[in-house]
Amino acid sequence: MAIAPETISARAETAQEVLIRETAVRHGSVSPTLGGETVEPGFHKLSGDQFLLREPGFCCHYSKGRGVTVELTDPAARGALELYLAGTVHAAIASINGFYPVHASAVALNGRVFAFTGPSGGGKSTLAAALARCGMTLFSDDTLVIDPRTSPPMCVPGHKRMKLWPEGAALARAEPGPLVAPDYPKHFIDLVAADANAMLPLGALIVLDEGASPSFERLGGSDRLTCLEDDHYTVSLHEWAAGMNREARFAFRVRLAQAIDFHRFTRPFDPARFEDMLDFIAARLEGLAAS
Amino acid sequence: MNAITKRRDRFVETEIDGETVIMALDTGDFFSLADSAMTIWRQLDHTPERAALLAAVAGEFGTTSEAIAGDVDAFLGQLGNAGFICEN
Repeated sequence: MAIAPETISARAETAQEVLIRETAVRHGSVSPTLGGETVEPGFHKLSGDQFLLREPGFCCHYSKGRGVTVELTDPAARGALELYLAGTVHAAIASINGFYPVHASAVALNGRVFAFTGPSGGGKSTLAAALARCGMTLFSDDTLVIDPRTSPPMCVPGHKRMKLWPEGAALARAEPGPLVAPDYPKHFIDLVAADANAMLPLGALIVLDEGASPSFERLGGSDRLTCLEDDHYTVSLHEWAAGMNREARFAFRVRLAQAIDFHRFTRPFDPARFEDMLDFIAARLEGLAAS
Repeated sequence: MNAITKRRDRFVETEIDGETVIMALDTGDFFSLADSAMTIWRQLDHTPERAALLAAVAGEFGTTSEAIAGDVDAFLGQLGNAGFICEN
């Protein structure tokens, strides 16, 4: 019996469904070249719908529609491989598929995502891990993928295997797991608390800053645009994948900035005051989540 | 009398939260204009001659052209240095 076209409803895949499919990993042989160019260890290259990353001990290749092929040549590099799959490779795949990766760690509260962004070493992961013991659920660590097609912007739940320095693990009261790699002495952390597994709307993007006194302020105007400027590989990957010139990137960031609520959380970088700052930001997030 | 023209091939702009944000296309640098600067920038689209520009901006702020001439000229100088305007 023929089915009339109008009776067939095609549902577009969600960003989460796309990423689950596209980040599927299989093990096999990986060529060290992409687009006719050899990629040296310690480097990566994005070309069209493909991405190649090489590090000492492993090589990862992604091709849109075909998932990720990993060649692990040194078993001791397994921790570093996991790090790159969850970070750079994941961000590249998101970018190639039209999504927007943000260098941020995020928690979920009352059905919305609150993401912390800032320079590496700024305490994003530590804060997200610590908030997980304040009734919030971990949404993603290190890379937050946003679907810019949606309004409000929807976030894809990310990996939950956090990486913390020993000091960060102590502040978050998390049990340090194995070292990520001998030359990268962060520890994997498996949080006991529940985590979020469904897409949620972005509640706010919060820039972490250091200062003598704690403050939490809403950002407006040009600050909302400059918050999206980040000297991080996630920005570069998105720009390469999107193939935008400066004018197009500006227009894209304007649309995104106008759809996102931005705040700045300034606090002292003092372990002795961490619990007070945790209470401070938890209260602010509760307020945002209730509004 | 020279007319001041915006070099629209040198920048892109947007308004966000009551500010005008300009990005230089060659450097990617951002410039934020608010209050009087934003007024002058907007007015350039309507009154490109300096005397008329001064009069229009002075009228918006309830003052005289003479009182604001120095500040307006300084701002126009900054816009020129950034490559956003030129005089014909």
